[in-house]
Amino acid sequence: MVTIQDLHFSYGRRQVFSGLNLELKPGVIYGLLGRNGTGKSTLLRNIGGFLFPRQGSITALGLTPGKRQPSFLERVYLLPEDFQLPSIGLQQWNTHLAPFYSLFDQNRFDRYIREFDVPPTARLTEMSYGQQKKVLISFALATNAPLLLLDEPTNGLDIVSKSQFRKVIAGAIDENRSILISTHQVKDIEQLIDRIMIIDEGRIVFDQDLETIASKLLFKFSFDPEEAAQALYREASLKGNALILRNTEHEDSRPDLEMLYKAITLDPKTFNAIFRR
Amino acid sequence: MNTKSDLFSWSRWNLLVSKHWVENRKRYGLSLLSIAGLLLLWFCFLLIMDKISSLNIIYQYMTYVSGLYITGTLYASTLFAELGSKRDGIGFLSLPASQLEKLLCALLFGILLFFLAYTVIFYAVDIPLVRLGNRFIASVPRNWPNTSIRVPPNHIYNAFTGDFGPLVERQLHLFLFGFFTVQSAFLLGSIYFPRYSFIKVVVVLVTVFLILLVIQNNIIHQLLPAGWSNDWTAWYTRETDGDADKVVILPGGGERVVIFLAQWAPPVLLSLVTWFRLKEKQV
Repeated sequence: MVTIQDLHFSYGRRQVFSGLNLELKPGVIYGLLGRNGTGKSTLLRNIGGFLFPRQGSITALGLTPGKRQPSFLERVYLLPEDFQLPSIGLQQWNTHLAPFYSLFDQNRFDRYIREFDVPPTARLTEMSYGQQKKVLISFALATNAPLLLLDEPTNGLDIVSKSQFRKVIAGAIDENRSILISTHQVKDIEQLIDRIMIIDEGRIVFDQDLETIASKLLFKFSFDPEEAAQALYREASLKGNALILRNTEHEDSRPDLEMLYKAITLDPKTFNAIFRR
Repeated sequence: MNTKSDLFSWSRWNLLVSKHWVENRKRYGLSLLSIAGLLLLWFCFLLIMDKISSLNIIYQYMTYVSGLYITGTLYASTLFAELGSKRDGIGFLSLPASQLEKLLCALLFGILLFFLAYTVIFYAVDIPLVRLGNRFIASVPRNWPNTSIRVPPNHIYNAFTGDFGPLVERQLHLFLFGFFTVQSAFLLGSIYFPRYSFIKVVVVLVTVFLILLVIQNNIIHQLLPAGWSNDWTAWYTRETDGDADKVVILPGGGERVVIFLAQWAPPVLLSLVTWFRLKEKQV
């Protein structure tokens, strides 16, 4: 669905990517994690065609994003972290925007708007940031775009809305669609994503699906100092040490992505070595 | 997936125009009302201040042209202003329409519709107030100062023919055509300069004009043979034929071509550059 080869990108002299490679497949929800300023949004904007690579190539849905052809733009929807909506009513906005997307599903849009509890007759500029975001999420999903790029989608959403967000995203994925979610709020998407990608210093330093992570790593709490000593990563907590261990006994555990993220950014080599075996 | 062309689709362009209108009509309506209000205020001021010929043709001409240029360029410099910020730029560029369609939509509103709307508003204010001024002239007949020549009623200035206006406007429609060039330049500038585009384009245009003036007066003039002068569109000299002087103009009939190109080519070329610039714009 998306293939990025040897991507080089810089803002003036500040190099952001130098030789980044990436492949996104349909039917998968990707979580793109990384510190602030590591290039998560820049990567999304490169895939969306809003920034052009200095070197290397990007192919999305068989097209070159930078050409920004309408047939590409209607099939790739980027939900930016920061946005501006016009000062018109929600229905009017939808009426004039939806026809640009030939796969747009009006019933689905109305359903999401109801689920998110967005006032359907309100003017967009009178809505809160969170409500505006919910409108855009609803619209993004209703476009039926095969590739959705969501930049910090849970920013500004309240607790209930975050839960609704996870629900609608989980229901929207199918074998023809790929969703890439960039966030630094790992907990918000932990139960949602199929695959985690960690970006650091302009490179993808970790790229694994959650099933493989659960089969190779064991996440557990323990008061046992010996176990803690063997851990690949540990954090002290009230419930004992939170540990990441090698899953040699094939035990079941649910990956704690926040902890995994911290562990990998500290020592990517060790973790990648485990997954290469 | 639809089968529309990726370069231009009439139905998609209609959607774009309709979307632009819906999102901006309130702002446009208020802006046009403000322009009408300012024109009304200005003409009333002229009626009060000029006790002799009130709204004569030069006042009308100057008001029409300066109003058109000032409000038009201010508007044109905002048309692609959203590309100056990441927040607004992504929304604009991600809309599934081609860059050509987006440009043509901007040209429609920024050049054609603005020109028509401004002209309609100008005449909506100008015609009744010139008639009002003429009533004053008719009710209190007056002479030009220090003469016995009666002040005639004023004509309505015709922006399209330049009738009764200055010579440059009657012959070449200099400011009328110039408006489309200047407007295209400000449209391009609104993409080139993310911030302070209006001021920057003014500086660029003044600089370009001064450079052309220097080339015209100091370089081309020096290259011409003795006795020849140069104009913006032709070179000419006077030859004596018996008792009469005759003017020899080069490139002769080509001057018409040069004038035609000067009138029509700059907006087209600038729009072409704007299109390329739009295609390569990153946010």
